[in-house]
Amino acid sequence: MRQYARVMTFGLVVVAWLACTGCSRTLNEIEPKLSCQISPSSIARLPSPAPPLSHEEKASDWGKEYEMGASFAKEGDFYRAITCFKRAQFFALSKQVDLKHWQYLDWGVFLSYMLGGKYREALDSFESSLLLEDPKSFPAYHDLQALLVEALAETRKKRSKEGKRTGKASLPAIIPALEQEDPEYGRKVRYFFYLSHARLNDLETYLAEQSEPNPDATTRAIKRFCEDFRVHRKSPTAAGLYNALLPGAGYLYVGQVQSAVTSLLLNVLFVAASWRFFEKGDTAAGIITAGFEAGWYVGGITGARLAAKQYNDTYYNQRASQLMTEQRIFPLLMLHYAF
Amino acid sequence: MRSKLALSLLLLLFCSLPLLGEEPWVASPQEASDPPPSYLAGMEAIIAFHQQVITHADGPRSHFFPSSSSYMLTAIRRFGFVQGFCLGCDRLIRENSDEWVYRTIRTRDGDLLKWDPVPLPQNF
Repeated sequence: MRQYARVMTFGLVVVAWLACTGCSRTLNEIEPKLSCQISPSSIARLPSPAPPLSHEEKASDWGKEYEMGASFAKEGDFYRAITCFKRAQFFALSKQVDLKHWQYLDWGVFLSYMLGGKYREALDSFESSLLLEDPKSFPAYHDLQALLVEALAETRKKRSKEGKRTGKASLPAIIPALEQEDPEYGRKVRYFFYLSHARLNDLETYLAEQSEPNPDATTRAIKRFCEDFRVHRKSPTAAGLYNALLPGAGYLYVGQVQSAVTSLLLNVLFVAASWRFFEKGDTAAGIITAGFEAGWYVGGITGARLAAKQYNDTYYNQRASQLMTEQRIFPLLMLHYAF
Repeated sequence: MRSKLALSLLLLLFCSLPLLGEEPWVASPQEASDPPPSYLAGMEAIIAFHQQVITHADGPRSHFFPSSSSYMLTAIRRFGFVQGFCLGCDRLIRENSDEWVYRTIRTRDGDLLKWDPVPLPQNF
């Protein structure tokens, strides 16, 4: 019996170790799903990067479509706005329209796609646009750069969600260039990049490198967020280990009290029953109950790890979204120009 | 005693196989419309019997969407018998009124259920 108990204990330890360490690195990573609410009225209040159209331009086909597109966009009807901007581009083909006007039309299409949540289409429209021609002369150049960072982040997340390999996102070259031209704006875009990819280690390294004696409110808020998250974060490995040592302890660690009690009772009951059946010589019943016990035990370890990951994801997404909305770190909240 | 010991160790090894990356009754990637492999048909029949006969005795009682029986069925199809069974057991342990961090979803009848889908293979 002692030998039996020793071997069973050893076997359980091996299974528990395998379950805790596991072959899944993704449980320790956060899946950022950040969102911000933008009202059409806040977009409508922003100035246009384009100067007002002249009388002749307003009377032209492309000018009318452009004004209609801007009007739809200010109401929040981005799909109609895109149609009008593209119709304006079609009419402008036959006229000798200035490069700047073409850029304003391309900007209208790009921004409408971004506000409509169509990030892949926004990137495609940018890559085929005249915004690439002398972009620094475009008044909304900084806004454009920040929005490109957001579009790249969102399309990357979508690819990851589709199961495609994405690897670690490297810092876009746009950000250091933006920091040189406008340090405060560039810093916010960098914060957005790190937070939207949940790269807290890189963010903390960056914050540590900033040697300003009086950091601004945004930097202070981000430091507090990082510290707060480090304190409240749950370790999936620890959750699995606790549940392996004492069924239910992992669930309790992440805050699921009822599940902890249920797990403990089920495991104790089925271990006792299995042991009793084997003692009595009822092998078949012993195997059945041992089979169920293996399910409760291993399932509990896996479940505790998944629960820790779910806790981390929810905590991060709620707090980070709130922080980024309050500090206006989302590029769409940092706009200086719109339609 | 030795035979019981051997059987118990075999059972433990069987349950640890998914953790080693090997799944004896692996559910290979298949379309949702494909019929289940024959070796999983038995388990699916038991779950189907519960969903069609037993559960109607006292009505829907799950606190989650999808229900625990659907969750186990999907988990078995997605991850294989052993891993799917373990995920299903975890779901049954959590089948309670703990609010916790779950997202919620309201059914057509107005019931507020906790949204807890089976994890995707790339996230597990």
